[in-house]
Amino acid sequence: VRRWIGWASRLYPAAWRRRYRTEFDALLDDSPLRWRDLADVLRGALIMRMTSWRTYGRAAAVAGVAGAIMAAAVSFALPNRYESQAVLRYVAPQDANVSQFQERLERAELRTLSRSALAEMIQEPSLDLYPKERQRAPVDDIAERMRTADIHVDVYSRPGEAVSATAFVIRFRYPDRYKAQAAVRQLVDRFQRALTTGQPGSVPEGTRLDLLESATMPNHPYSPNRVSIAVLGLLAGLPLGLLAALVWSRPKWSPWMAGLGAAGFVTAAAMALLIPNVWISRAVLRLDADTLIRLEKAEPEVLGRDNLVRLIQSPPLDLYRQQRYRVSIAVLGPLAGLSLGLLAALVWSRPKWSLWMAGFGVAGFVTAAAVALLIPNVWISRAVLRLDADTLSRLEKAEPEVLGRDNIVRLIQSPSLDLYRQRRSRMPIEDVAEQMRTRNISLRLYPAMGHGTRVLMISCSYPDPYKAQAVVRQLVGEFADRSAGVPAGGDSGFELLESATLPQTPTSPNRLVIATLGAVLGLILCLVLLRWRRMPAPSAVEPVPAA
Amino acid sequence: VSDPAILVLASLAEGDKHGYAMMEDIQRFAGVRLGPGTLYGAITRLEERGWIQPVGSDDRRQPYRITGAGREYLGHQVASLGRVVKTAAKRLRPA
Repeated sequence: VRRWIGWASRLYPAAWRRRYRTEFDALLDDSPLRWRDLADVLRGALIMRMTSWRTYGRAAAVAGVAGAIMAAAVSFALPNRYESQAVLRYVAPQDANVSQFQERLERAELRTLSRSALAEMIQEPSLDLYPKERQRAPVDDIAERMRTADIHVDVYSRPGEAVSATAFVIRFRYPDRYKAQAAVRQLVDRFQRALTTGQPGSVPEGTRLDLLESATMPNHPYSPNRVSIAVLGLLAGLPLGLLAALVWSRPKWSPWMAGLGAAGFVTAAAMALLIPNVWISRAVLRLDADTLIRLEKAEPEVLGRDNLVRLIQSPPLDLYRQQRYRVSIAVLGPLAGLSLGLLAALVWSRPKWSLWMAGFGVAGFVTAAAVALLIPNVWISRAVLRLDADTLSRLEKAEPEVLGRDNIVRLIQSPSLDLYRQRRSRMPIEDVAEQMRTRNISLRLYPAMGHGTRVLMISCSYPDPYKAQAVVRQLVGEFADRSAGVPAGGDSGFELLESATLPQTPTSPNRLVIATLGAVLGLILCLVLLRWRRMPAPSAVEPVPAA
Repeated sequence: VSDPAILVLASLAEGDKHGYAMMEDIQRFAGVRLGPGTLYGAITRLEERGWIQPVGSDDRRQPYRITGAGREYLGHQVASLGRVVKTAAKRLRPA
């Protein structure tokens, strides 16, 4: 019974045990204990815990409220965005031949939301949308972002017995409510004009397009949702408050919690680094009934095993080359496990070193993260071309000229690009051009399906994503001019499969890896110092008695 | 009278005692055996309120002493209890 009660007494709060443990143990040693005393001690521990939980609750509540206030304050720093909308309805009798008109509708939508149409709308003086963004990026890219992020077209169909109705809701979000409304008004106008002019075919009898709701004037911002942000702040603050209370009430647990948290972070980060990224690409086709039947017949062939094997093995694709990942996992997995095991054993056998190790690890992580923040981002843009044999030979002849030093120097100094301004002040422009050609511009040629056909990938890395894209665009244009002599995308031996991409994420530096390496180096440094300098553990430092 | 706090104060009113001595004393004068959890729950609360205080000791057993405030509180409680006892006794007496 004594042993069981001794275990139960460990359930008391740490602060209580620090104060009463010795005398409580003395009482247990003196008293003739019974089994019901075990229940009595458990009950006492529970009551003490509940008293102690009030501290946790208070800490969580304070941190939660602080988190909510901070999140709300941050939300007020975010700009408001307003959403205006208009509703159009297309009504057709059930027996009408509506497929032709629906096709017109879809074409009108595509024309209204095409990149060129939106670019024109953005630059229209009466609207003058995205003025700041236009200073930093080409208007085509802004139009693309406007179409994908800010304009939303929802279609609602309601089939009925006598008539069928299709409603279009056009929404646009923008920081200026008046401009949001004006833009929606323009979109509706352009949509109606695209529908009624410039296309063959006639409007079936009995069909009509009604404007149910003209562009609304938004009174309240669509985003940010400050209540949600404040609630998120509250929810983030609660566990932080609990953690702070835990660290406060159990200071001895802190190194363990920090060590295990860091170990978990490093393990998860290492595992995440081993998992390859997966990207999804999709294409949307519209098919009529005859084409659909032909497509269904072709599907077994296209998706047949032989065709897929050919696709997987074709050199420009070269899919599923997982071997290197397997090697990485096979080597790095056990290494990571071994390191963590050693770390755990070390912390277990030398608990007094834990504080030093945690401190050095965190210091290394923070230092490396701070250094990583000073390293500029590098962005890679690329374009992919398909070339036939003749075009390729012309391109190979044009390459020395396009990538020649003179041409690169011209590219660097062109006012629209103005590349490597700082580097140019330190070294001759010819050397900067040479570095750019050898380090930043890359041309890779891959075999492709079709006799003599090749796929060329042109890429450029630069600290500014827009400039990286502009360089690739410029190089593609020059290759197109010199090698094909006809516009890209035309019916020639030169086809632009993918125009210069605007990189969404920098390719380097990987700040997480740098910070993690910093933590590892900090730990190693700590171990070396502890071993050779025999540093005293913080808890072992005795206060110097007053003289 | 089963409030552990009153029982502990009543025990300490006689003189300083450590936990086990209180447990024994209370069992003797009140016929109630306080479990270790209950006893130390009462000691914790009484010390927090300043009604008892630890007395210096070299032993693992920590003696406690009732404070002036503790005596005052106990006095009020005993007086109140006395009135209840007197009234109840009077009412129980056959008319």
